Amino acid sequence: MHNPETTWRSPQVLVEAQELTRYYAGFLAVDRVSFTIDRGEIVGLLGPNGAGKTTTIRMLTGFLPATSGSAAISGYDVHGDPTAVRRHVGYMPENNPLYPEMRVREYLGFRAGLKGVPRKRRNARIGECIDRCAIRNVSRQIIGTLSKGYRQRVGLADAMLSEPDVLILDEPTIGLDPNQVRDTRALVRDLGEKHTVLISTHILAEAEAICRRVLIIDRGRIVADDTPQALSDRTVRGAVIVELSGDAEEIVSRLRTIEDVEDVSLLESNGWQRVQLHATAGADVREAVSRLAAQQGWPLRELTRTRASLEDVFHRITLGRDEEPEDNSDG
Amino acid sequence: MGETTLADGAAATGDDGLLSWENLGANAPARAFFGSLRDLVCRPSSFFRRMAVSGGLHEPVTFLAILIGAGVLAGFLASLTYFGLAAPDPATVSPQDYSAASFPARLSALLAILLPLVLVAGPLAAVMLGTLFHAAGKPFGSRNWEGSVSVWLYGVSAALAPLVAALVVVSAVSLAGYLLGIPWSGSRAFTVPLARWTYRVLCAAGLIASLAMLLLCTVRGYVEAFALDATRAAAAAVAGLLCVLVVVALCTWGFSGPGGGVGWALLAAVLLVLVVLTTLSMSAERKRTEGV
Repeated sequence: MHNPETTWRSPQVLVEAQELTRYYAGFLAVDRVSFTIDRGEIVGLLGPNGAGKTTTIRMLTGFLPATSGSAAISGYDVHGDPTAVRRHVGYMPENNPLYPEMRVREYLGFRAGLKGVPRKRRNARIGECIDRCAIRNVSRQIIGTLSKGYRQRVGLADAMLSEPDVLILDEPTIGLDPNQVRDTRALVRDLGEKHTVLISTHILAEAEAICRRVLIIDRGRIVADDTPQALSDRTVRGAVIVELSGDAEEIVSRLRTIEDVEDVSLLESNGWQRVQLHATAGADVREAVSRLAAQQGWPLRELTRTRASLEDVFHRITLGRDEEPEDNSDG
Repeated sequence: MGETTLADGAAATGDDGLLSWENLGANAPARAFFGSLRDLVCRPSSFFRRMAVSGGLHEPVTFLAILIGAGVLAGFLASLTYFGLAAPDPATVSPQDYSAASFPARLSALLAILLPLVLVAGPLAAVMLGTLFHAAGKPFGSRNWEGSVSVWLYGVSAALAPLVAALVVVSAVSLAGYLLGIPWSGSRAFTVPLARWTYRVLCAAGLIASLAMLLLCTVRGYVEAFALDATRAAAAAVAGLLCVLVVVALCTWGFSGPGGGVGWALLAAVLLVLVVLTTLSMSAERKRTEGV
């Protein structure tokens, strides 16, 4: 269970989970999850439905007790000092509960009082959050009459009210239209300049667009923890597309001899030979291909590295399948 | 990277010149309440300098509600213990005298029973009277409704403090006399006069101190909250207090003078005027704060 003697890391580490575990009546929802998040990071918590994202977040924010393990926010133990933890966390739950009969500004004033924002700074702070979340034009409107996008913004403004060190956002773009999704993502990116953000999502493009680091959780366990780029390089074989002029068979056989090349396939042959190479994970064979083409005197028209998307990484990690990488050019 | 303990990470934040009762995010509520009450009574200038003049009335209203609750309970305890010790013998006094002697105990018991209602009605009435206080002080420099009402609410709280303290002392003296009388009945010869003297002197002193605190705090409040000079602040505070006094006296006179019907009609009229005035003031305040 919780250990009151737990020693937490330096003030640079704002979120720390140590062996967090949660059972629901015998069902293991989160299994010994450990990670840290440093000041100023925007971290995505990815995982399929039912992977344990929301349970992990609820344990981190003190809304749900852990069966075992411990967690700290800004150095405060979630179990031992939940009030201090709540002062340092801005949490926007997935269902974004608001009081629909209140006006936006009135609601934020009420929440600011509950969150202990000093009375002297309350109006200024509410004004800042309203401007930051671009809800000034609806600040006198009744929440129940707002669109889903505006409600999400009100939820975000609420999360930011007490100037928390850490913002934890559970599926912040779920149910929004594409324009609202884009605006919300831009807002979260902006928030990352002042806050440490942990964002839970199963929309991979979102994590790729916003997060500097992703944690992939599957069946209650953290199965990957790195930057999207590093995960892509490490987990899935990237492909290189080459377009050369010359004899197709010779080109394919010679390309196979390049170190780290695992597989070569001819995609098109119409005067120019379009070939796809798969190299071992993390290897970049473009330089070797270029050198070979120069040695052989093959005119080279294209040499492109395609990078695996986070979606490929996600599929590979959570389903154990290596999907064909999308054509995300990086060369 | 050196490791730090939980205690290191949980270092307290500074209070940045904020009133601890209005910065509950950084202060434990009980500690903040007593610290702020001490400041309000002993150092009103410092208290009102740090008081916010906007940002909602939750804090001053709650502060007053706590003191009203404490006052009702202390009053109930004091009148009950005093009556227990010094009640006249029903065999030797007339029923009217006995009823008059038991009136404080009966009234305070009624208030204690209705405590939840008192805790809502008391602060609500105080906010409406605060609007009147603001309106009367406006020509002298009372700038915004929230600021004036805050000064008024904290002023009333300060006025209640000595009264509550006096009632607590009366309770303690009466209770001690009552308890001493159980094993030693002869002690009543000096405990009853002592309790009677304490009751009369302390209640009178508490009442005088309350009025002095109300005047002092409202003047200091105006000086510090709106940076008014002492003369203008005193004029604003006295005008406000007189206005409140007239309205309260009018309502009371309605019941005691012409009779029940006129009393209720007067009370309803005053309440209606106060509600309208408060609504208009709140609306103006919202416009000022939100710029809409």
